[in-house]
Amino acid sequence: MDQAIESTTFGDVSIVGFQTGSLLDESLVRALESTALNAAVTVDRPKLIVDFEGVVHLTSAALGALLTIRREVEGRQGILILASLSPAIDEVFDIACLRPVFAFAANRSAAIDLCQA
Amino acid sequence: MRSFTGSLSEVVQSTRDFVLQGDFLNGLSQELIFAIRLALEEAVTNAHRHGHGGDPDRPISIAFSRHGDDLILEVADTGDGFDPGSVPDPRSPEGIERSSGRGLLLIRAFMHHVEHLDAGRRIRMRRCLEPARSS
Repeated sequence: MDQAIESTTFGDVSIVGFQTGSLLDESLVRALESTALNAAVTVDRPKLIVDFEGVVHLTSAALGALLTIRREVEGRQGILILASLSPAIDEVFDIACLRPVFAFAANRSAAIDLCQA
Repeated sequence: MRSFTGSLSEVVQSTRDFVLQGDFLNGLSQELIFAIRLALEEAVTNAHRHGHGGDPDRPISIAFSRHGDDLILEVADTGDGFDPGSVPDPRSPEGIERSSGRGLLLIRAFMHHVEHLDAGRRIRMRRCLEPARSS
């Protein structure tokens, strides 16, 4: 696993997070996709959180990877929550009109609550 | 102007270092640096992936300058060029689920003026660096 990526669990919820100051560029996007998909394919009805706390930058490659992850998770009747987006990253989702496509939470704790609701 | 070759990750890293370590960025807000970095990386990715078909040996040229409150940033490739008007809108119902094709949309959103020159081989982007005039 890329050292900038951390993968943890909370009960039946898988959480993918990042080191502080992460630049979610082309190389880290591949690591995100691999880590998240690995977490998603190991269980039926996966509950997956991608926590953007600490991410200071992303590109359209990250949006593409998240759409791929979402397809895989929803194909297994699971749930994907994106948490802790900074205002700048939030704006990227707005510009791309992807806000209705994903589920969002203000922080990791709120995302876990959504997964367990 | 400087030229860069290598894998996409290598070129993204090198061009980021070249542009974002310049003294002229001192004192800029994180919002502005985010916008400049995003536009640069999207343009470099397009040049590498689409302009050069991923060929690591073909050079991508970067130039940047500051004119008063404006940053001018140019990225050029040596590919066949393209028609910017032919790029589908990724926000359309057909495009919204696609995993790629959002780079130009983000560049146009985060920069204040974008020109495609040399039959699409060169993109010139302008961003006002004065927060009061930012949109």
